[in-house]
Amino acid sequence: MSMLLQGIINCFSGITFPLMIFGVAVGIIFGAIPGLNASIAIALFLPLTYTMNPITAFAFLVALHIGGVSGGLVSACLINIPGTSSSVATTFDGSPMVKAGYGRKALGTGTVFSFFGTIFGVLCLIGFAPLLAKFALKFGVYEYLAIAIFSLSLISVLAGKDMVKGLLAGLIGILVAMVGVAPVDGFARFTFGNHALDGGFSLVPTLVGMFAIPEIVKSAQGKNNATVISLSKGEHSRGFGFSLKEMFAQTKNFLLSAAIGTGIGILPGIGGGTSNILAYATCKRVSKHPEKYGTGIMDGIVASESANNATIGGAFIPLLALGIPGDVITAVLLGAFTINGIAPGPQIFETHTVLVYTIFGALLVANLIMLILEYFGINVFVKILKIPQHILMPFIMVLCCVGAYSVSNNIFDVYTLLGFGLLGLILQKFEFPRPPIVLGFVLAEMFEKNLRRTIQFSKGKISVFLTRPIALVFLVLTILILLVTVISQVRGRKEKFDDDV
Amino acid sequence: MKKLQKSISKFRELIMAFIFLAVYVVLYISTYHIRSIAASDGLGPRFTPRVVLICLIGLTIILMIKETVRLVSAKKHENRSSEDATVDASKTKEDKAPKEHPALDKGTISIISLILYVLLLKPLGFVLASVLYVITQMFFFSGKEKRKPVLFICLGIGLCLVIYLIFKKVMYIGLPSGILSFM
Repeated sequence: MSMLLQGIINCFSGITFPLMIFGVAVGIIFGAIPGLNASIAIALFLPLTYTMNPITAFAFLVALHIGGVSGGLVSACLINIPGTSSSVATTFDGSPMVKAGYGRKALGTGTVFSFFGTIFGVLCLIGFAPLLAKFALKFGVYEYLAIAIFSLSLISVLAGKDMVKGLLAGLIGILVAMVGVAPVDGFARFTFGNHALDGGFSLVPTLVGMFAIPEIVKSAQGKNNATVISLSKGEHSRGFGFSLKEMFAQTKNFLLSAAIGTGIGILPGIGGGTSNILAYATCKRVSKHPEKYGTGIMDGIVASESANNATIGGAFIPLLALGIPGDVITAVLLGAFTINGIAPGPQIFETHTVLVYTIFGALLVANLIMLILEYFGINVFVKILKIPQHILMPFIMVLCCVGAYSVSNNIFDVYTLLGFGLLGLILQKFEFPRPPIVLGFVLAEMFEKNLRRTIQFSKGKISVFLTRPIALVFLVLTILILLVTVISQVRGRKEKFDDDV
Repeated sequence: MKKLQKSISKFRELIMAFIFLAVYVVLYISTYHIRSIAASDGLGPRFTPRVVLICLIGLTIILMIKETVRLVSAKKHENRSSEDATVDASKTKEDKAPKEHPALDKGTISIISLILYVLLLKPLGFVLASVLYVITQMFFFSGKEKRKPVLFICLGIGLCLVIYLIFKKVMYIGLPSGILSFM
């Protein structure tokens, strides 16, 4: 505890604290601009840290990280375009809530539960890092495959009213992710001789295109002009826009989402892009009122934002305890450790205790800075909506293109953005739900890679899952989810039939 | 012409499903061209895409059957109620589409300008393409009463330049400079 306190105090020494405020602010801006994200911000500012001492450098990078992940909710809520892949699910309820006139409540909910989500993840990191890292090591191909199957089964939850279209959407997402070299043996698929497709479609331009372009076209058609007549309807038109009672009512939802977020963060290879949508689908599944999801309720925003921020703490666990980066951001941070001559791993808690606890402290301090900046920023953010749509939307498109281009300084990513925007338009026109596409897209590679490895290692024997308790639990959960979905579909049809009769 | 438009809008779900089905079939056939060696897992790189495509083809056929059933029952319903002049055909899903036509034009212009913008981004360069796109969009979609050409031109040029300079000079992301290569 005293070490953590020392870590927090270190964040206030010298230039560190002002740099952290700057880092969080820049991170929020990067997160809020569709296409740009925390990993780009960290990669861009990494060279600046070369001349800093390690404590200041990591505090600054952590601040960029926290700001970048939290900033995504701003554009997700206000313009229905996810700023980052971590905030895709925030659009599902954030945007309808804003359109209903509760802009302050949507942003306030996202901000507060992002704050709590980070705290949850960081507490897990501080309390159980070595233990959880050991647990994460138990996850082999069988467990990853079981998680992928379980997660894909949640497509049925996100399918919406029309199950066939929902499943089709999920499969389209999986198919799109198969473009490029195949996992395991690396043969090109569906590239048709175009080498630009060898690496597949990048996640950011794909998601931003699918969400941004339909929104821009809708706005051109004048269908968005009614957006937010009143930004702060209801009795809680100040502060964060919701009451304490409403906040405490979200406790179960928050704990479940934060646990999912942290769990996903711990597992290398999966990040905030997956955790937010998985938490959303799970909370919808266990909710007493799943039909209200997507209409603009707090639950949806809480699920998404708690999970994506809890992933931050989770992702630091394998990074610090094992030296394994869980996602792109922690991979860049691993580079920062290397530049400073530090090798993360089990020994780091003993060899660089001060630095480790400063990182813990910086996560907490940056989180608090994020809460304060976003609280005061709400009034500024909602003013964006007062800009006429015919002026705002063309600039959003320009920023989306810049964001897509920045992913790898490649014009192909801008074409990807356009292509998926057009696909998104067609699918929206024919009322295909978009959430299953996202889930299918982010999970496809994990599913296929681990399916093939599982068959390799087990020599095709399914019975191997009986000897892997963690995998077995996920498979049983999958069967339960599918059973519940089938039963509710049959019941729904029966009720419809009775009504018709 | 109007009759053709009406027929297209009536069968648009079926037409769309048919196009998607054709794409899936073509993609399935193309899986035969995926290079493969004897994979140690017995599956190889063709297996998963084929399974996914078979599921997509199957589900699309189910979707087409559902849509056909819906159209047939809508037709029956239409015939039954044809005597009653007060019954408005606009209640049926397929007849909603013509109502959207006034907005469709703006939507189509928006889509075309988006495509042109992205395609011209490299040859013209970020600044020029963005300025043209932004000004065109603002001009077309503002409505006559809100149209302020001077403001739109100033905003378009000013903000696009600011974005370009921030990315190029501060963040060192070299956006395409196109024909303005001196920038």
